[in-house]
Amino acid sequence: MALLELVDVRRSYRFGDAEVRALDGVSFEIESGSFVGVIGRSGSGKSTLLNILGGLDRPTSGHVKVEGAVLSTSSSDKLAAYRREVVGFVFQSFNLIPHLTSLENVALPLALQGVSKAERSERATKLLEKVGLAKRMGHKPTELSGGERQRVAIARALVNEPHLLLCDEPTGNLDSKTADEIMGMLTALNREGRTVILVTHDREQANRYSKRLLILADGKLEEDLRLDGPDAPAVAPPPSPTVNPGPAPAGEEPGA
Amino acid sequence: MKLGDVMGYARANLKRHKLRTFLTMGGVAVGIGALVTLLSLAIGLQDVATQNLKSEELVTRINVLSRSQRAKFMGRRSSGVAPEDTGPPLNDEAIASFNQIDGVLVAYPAAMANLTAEVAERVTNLQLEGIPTKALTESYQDALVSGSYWDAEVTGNVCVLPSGLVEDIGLDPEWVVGKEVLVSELRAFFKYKSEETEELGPDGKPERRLVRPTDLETETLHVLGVYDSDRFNRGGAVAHAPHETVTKLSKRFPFGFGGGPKEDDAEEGTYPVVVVKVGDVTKIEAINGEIKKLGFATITINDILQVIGIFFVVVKLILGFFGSIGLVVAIFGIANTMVMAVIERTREIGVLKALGARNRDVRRLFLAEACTIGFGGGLMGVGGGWLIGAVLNAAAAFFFKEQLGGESYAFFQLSSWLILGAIGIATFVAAVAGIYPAARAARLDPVESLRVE
Ligand SMILES: Nc1ncnc2c1ncn2[C@@H]1O[C@H](COP(=O)(O)OP(=O)(O)OP(=O)(O)O)[C@@H](O)[C@H]1O
Ligand SMILES: [Mg+2]
Repeated sequence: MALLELVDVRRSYRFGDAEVRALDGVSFEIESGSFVGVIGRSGSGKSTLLNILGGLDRPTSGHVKVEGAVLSTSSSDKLAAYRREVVGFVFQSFNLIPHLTSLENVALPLALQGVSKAERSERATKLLEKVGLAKRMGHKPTELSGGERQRVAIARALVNEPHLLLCDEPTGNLDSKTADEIMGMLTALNREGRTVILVTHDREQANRYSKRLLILADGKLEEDLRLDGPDAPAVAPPPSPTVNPGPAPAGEEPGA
Repeated sequence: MKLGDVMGYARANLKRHKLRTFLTMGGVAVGIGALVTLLSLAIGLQDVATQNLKSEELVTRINVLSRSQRAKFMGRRSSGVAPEDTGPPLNDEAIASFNQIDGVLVAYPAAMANLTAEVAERVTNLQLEGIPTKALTESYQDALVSGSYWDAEVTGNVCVLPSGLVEDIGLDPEWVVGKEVLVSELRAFFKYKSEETEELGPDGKPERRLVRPTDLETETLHVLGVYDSDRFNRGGAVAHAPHETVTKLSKRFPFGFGGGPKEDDAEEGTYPVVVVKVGDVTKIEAINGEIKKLGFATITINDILQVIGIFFVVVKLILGFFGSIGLVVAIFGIANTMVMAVIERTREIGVLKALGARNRDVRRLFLAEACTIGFGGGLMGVGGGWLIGAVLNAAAAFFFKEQLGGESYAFFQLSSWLILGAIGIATFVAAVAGIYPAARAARLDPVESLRVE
């Protein structure tokens, strides 16, 4: 069973009479353990898609299923639990809490899980060492460089042992060398078995690291390319957005 | 999220904005301080009003009135006694029946004499209370400053003077023991004349001397001792003497300036008030009940304390109401601070939610902050209220000592209930103030919040 399944997901914003369709009928599946790149122009709906996959946002219509269970209509507490247990977010702007130290930032998701203080700091310390920041544990985000901040953010995203890593332009604010380091880290994490979804502006980066590439345009899935190995030819997406939905549960809306 | 972590997070956030936190707590502290000061005044005043009523002597005493006497005393309407419902007569027979009740030390008709007394060339008004030898419990002996009380052997025309009176007329309590007091009718006070002597006083003027009228009828009492009048009735001037002596004196020198027989519609052989002295405080209510069952009306100190207690409940409510006005203002202060905090930390709230915080976790974080402000403000307010009370008590003590030469009272008193209650109220009120901001934080949309710069 696919880890994630989107069925005709739409997300629109209303301004009086006008309607902005950030996502306009997107359907696809993501297998567990894959490394998926998402590219598209600014405003094409990449972040909106990622937020919906991560349970931060709900689609206006359509379904998101996680291992077959419908996520998009879950209660907000269930969504929070999903974010706490399954998802790790990495943002372009790091989103570290400015008044907490690196260690406290990394330990924060564990505090939300109710993990004891001793275990929290042990696990957070290990991860900071893993991302090479053993000497920056007591520093606040303002005392760190951009690359260091993003490494703290990655450590924070990993501390709850998430199965799904959602990265929204994680290297957007970093120079190319630091970006390569961060991408190397994400690749290693993918090899450990974690599913990585990477939103990026950088087509070349997406080509280099992902095994599959989703191209969004105007809220629609324009292309779905498989990049399995350097020699494999790019696989064209099926002509219809209605990907084989598998055995559809009762009561499911038909795809648009 | 665990409660300890929630509290820790809240405290850390408050610490980052020390000035703002302090100012908001200050608002709470002013409100709580005012409340604590006013209520501690009420507690202190109640204590001052009742401390003399709690002496062992008074709490082991039941005043019995005939029902008709009580009706006259309280007014027929409020006493609930119908005019024809006179009840049994309060006579010697009734006293005998009281004396038979188990636990009663002695029952006796209240005896008071209001006299003029001359002692060591000083003339003063003297109230004498008649006390049967049996009723002289240990608390009387304990209150002695000098000398002793009478007993079965040493009795008759003797008295024990209150220290307040002895000091007022400028005598030494040790010295006065064994001296004689010449008592006469109350209006004799105005018959004494004062005349100049040959000797000159320290101011160069002739010393003056009191001259007793030659035809004055007097009786002589021996001073056996002096008791500490603060112990029985603060500042009071009631001297103690054997019951028979006072009964005799009150007949010989009746009350009043009119001189004639006192107007009294009581039947022959009955008494207006009978005192029932109880040996053990814990038995007083039971004995009181038995006397009432016999058809008499009674007044105990508990009845009086109850009335005073009700009065002070009203006083506390009124003072508490005015004291709370400051707290209402503080609510707005806390709510304002918390709304600001939510707005400032919108992005942080988005991050917390992205990391898996539930709405209720976010709500708790902000409620915890509000409560911490309230708790801190409550502590400061109780401290401030205590300080104000202590300063005013000290000022009162200074004033009483310098100006009046007496002891002062603790007008402001804290009780542990008041302290805990005030801190509890501060915390509760802060929680109320935090409800709206916390709910607003909890409701924030995570995606929108993360978009905020
Ligand atoms: N809260 C919102 N209110 C109104 N419109 C929104 C909101 N969020 C997103 N949109 C609109 O939805 C569309 C998709 O936005 P989204 O942030 O997903 O784009 P994006 O592909 O991530 O762009 P970028 O590469 O610039 O980050 C945009 O046109 C945007 O204006
Ligand atoms: Mg975006």
